[in-house]
Amino acid sequence: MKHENKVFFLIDVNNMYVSCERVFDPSLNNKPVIVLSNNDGCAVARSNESKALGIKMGVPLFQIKDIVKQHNVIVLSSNYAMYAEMSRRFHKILASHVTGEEVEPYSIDECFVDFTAYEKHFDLEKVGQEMRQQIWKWLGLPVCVGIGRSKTESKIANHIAKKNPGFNSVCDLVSMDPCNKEYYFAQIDASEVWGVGRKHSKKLQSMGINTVLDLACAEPREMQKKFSIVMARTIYELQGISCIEIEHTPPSKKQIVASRSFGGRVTELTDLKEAISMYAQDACKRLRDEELLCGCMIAFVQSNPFDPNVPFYNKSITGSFSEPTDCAIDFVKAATRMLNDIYKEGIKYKKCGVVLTCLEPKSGHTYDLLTDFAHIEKKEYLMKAMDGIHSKFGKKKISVGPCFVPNRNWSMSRDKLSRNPFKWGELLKIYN
Amino acid sequence: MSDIVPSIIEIKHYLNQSIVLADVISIKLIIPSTQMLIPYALEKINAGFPSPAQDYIDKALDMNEHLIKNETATFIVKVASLSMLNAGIDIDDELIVDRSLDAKHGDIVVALIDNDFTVKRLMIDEKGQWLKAENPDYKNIYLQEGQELIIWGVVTCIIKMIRNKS
Repeated sequence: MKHENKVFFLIDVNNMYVSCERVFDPSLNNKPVIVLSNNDGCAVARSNESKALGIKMGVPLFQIKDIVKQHNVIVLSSNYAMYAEMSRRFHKILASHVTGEEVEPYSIDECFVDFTAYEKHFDLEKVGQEMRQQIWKWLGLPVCVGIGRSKTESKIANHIAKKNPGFNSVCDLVSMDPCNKEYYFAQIDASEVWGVGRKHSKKLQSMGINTVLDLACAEPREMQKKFSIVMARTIYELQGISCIEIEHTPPSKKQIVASRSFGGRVTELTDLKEAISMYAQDACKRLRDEELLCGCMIAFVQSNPFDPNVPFYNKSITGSFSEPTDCAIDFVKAATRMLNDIYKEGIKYKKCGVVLTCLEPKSGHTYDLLTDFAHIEKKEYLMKAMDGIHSKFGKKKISVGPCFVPNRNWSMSRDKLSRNPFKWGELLKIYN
Repeated sequence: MSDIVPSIIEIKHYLNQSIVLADVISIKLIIPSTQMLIPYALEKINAGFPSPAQDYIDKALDMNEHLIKNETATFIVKVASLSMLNAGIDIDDELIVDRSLDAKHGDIVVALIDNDFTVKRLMIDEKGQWLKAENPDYKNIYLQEGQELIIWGVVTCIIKMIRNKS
């Protein structure tokens, strides 16, 4: 479906994780700050001050040790529970501007709003500024707003608002003079376009398409032959013709991944088994929340890919269940058994995990004739009891195996974890 | 559901008591949660008897609804200072802070001065904005040259636990 008169907003929190940390710890303001991935491996969020020091997205901490030391960069562990709550509020505020059908929380820090129905009654740029100020006042989070005739255009508008301070964080391509629009499009690399990325940019370059403007001027049908329908759609979108609608219900999950890096190096099989049994149970919890059954499980182990002294060890194994299941005991049993086959002595393991695939809705599953229903029912009662204990007393009160006993050899290291101000025991404290 | 069951027993108990205190007008079921759950299972068990819960469910008090007007903009902070003692704010009290409100003269606010948190009463007069401590042992805060006062949020409520303060 193509529409020429749509209006989309893309609202995006600047440096989300760092900005969240600053709300509850203002001493971080105006200082170079980075937030590390799970287990303090890589920088996954950077303040503008850190970006200015040349710290790249996703860079492992050990590679920037010197910069961190020299410039007193503040290094924090990621506090996902807190970011998730701030994200929920961010999306809720935006949803209050339109109906539920017209918002799409695109990621933890990005949200599309379809504003088509209200265009005539509002000054779009003013609405963008109001949203920005509201989120700043209510949550303390800085955002940029991009406004365009398509989702792709609103993404580019957001990019323009971020890179050009003159826009005061809101860029409205709908009302922008076409000459100005061309000027900005000509400055942005085509690889910045939503859905294009680095993968296609080489091929585009070879065709003389370097900037967003070049791409927007390309002939969609010709490009469809050379690339795909997706590329053609992207070009229409850049021309202000909307082809991608707001998505309301995310398609049901194709797979569930539960894995994490270890705090220290792990070498023993028993430690790995403990860890993988916890990830299997995490994955099971998510599976049950989505009311799915799993037919197939992949278990994997890895050594540290950044260690130049030893070869990278990365092994995985797949196993399928005779009957699709959502029982934690099945997953733990399978994961620990599969681990025996991929474990090798003498390796310093950095990470392990499980992937659940072949997922199907629990309600839609047809059991075969030979199914032992009494057994399935028994397992379901057990799982229901476990779920009940988890929701009433907390996740760590009961488990299969010893994985929640504190301070295991493999526990995550989050040295620089901030408090979670949304928990009674960790509220923000005011000393003055 | 399971949370409500014991309350029902309590209500029965209350109903049987004659109320003597003049200032107690009514006793209502308090569910300190925004999720009001209707005890279906309970009614099944009581089949044949009118459920005493039915009359009371819609009178349930929701503490969140009572204390928090704008959930998305509300934060709870803990006090570790005696500077507002005479305004009733003691150490370990929790404050409900609504960031969506515009701070007015006389409001108790959580504010930032030089990126440090403080809780004080906001005063707006001919001297401009300043922060008043509600304890003679503490100094008021007047802005120095180049200092900026940032209102972090307006305090709307004090949660004071008066028993088992541990």
